[in-house]
Amino acid sequence: MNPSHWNLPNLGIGVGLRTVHYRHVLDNSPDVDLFELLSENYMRTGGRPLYVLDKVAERYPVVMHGVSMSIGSTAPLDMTYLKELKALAKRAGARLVSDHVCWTGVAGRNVHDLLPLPCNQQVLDHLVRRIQTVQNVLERPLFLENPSTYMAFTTSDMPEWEFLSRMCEAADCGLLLDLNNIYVSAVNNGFDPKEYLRGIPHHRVGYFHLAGHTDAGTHLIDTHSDHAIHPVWELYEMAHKLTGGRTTLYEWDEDIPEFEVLHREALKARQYMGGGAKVVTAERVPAQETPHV
Amino acid sequence: MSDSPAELSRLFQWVQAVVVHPDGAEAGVASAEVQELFGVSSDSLEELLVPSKTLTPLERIGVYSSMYPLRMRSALSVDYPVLKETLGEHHFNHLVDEYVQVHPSRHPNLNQLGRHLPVYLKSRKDMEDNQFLAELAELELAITYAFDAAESPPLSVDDLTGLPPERWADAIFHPIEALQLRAFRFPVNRHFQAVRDEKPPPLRRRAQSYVAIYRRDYRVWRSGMDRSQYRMLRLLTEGKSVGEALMKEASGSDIQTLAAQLRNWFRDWVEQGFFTRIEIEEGE
Repeated sequence: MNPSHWNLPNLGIGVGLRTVHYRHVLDNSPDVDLFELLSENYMRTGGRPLYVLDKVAERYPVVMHGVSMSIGSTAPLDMTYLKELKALAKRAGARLVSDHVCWTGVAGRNVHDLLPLPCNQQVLDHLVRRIQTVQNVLERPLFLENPSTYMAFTTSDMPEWEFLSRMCEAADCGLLLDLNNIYVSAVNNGFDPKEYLRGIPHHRVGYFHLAGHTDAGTHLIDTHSDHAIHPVWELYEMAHKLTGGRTTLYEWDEDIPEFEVLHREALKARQYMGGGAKVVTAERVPAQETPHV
Repeated sequence: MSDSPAELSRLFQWVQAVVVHPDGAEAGVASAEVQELFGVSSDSLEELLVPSKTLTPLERIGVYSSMYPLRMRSALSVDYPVLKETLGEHHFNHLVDEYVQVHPSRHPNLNQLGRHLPVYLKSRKDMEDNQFLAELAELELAITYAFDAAESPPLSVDDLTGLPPERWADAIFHPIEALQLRAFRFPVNRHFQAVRDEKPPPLRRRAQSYVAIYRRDYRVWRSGMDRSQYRMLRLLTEGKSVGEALMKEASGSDIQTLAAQLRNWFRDWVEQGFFTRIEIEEGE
């Protein structure tokens, strides 16, 4: 695979758009490079969320991030969901569409958690077939995120980074690399996060996620409720060098602070970028009307 | 053990059954359903799951198991804030834990999880005030429906005044997608407002009440109404023309009174944005 096939732009530093910040974003058009939208927040709804989505997509580049594709499940892919996702991506003009390497339920149920997969060839074959199907439906590459994991299966026979590398090559898909998740999983599973970073296919990284986590004493939990800790920023610095720089998104989902605090946290990324990264700044359209929300 | 598709499916079913077990991971592993999938005990979980330096396999799957009810409670807290306030956090959490055993999420969107809660509450005859609570949940569900409905542009008062008097009887008023009408046996709308205003709610005595829940300018509103307004509006939203609705609702001499009231009602309803389109039924 020719790495240039992916030709992934660096859209700059953005944040995940959350409901509590809607009014601030629409009223003030903050100087953010891009927003990440949680796909499911804009599906099966027709009111204010879509109004906000349209306004934000008019003014900013957006990427879409989902939690419910359940790409690794043994349950059939939900084609209705995929078609709705495709329509939403078109409506938002999404630059990238992502979800997680996980499963969220079987037997007609949805647990709404990012449950881990065993890392072995049989699971890989299963996963790759499903990714290919999804990419055919979406008619675009899918970017899959490494989740935080709290348990591992005895049937795993390869490290997660090798599993992800093989997945990307076989399915011809992209990676959404979450540096905080690497750190959390490294502590919980006892691997070297730097070996992980060296082992993934850098040219397939579409964008980075950063977030804070919670230390539960015996393990770390990916809560997205705080500032990212220094070791996570160090991983970001290393990932930035290895990939040549990619779009960076900061996620904050619990105890969400004022927008400025969130944005400042995201902009810390600049301190860890070093030189050489080329950021494509999208042209932004200033807000010309008073929003109705 | 291999991870053939059938084996992988069995493994996932095992994990899921343990994670969602109402009494936690240990009870989940020991449950009959889980034992049927994999006959491993808590002590022999290392056959399936790898321990970490600090956690046993049971503790590791317990991390997922402990987060499951929190996520379900959090989701329903968003949809049913007044029900939660009314019950108190402890009882609300308990209700959610029991509810998801009967109505687990089966949809990619967690915002669909609470759709059966009013019906579930109605069936819980063992709960004190369950009929009142079911109606309160019904009101909050209607708010969710109004919030999520597709946007449809509302009629203006000018559209109304432009309708020739002789065509009123044949006019069919199409409601906006976000209009929800509800009839309750308890004053749940007043209760809702009192809780929102942090005032003492009215007594939970039976008292018929009628509410329109609708969205205007991307905000959801609630508007109380009397029985006649509700019945007329109900007929109109079911597709009856104004004339048909009048004939059905009024009897004998009060048709003139009702027709006079209707003019004011329509003005209010249109100002509130209840309708999106007028269709004129062609006469014979």
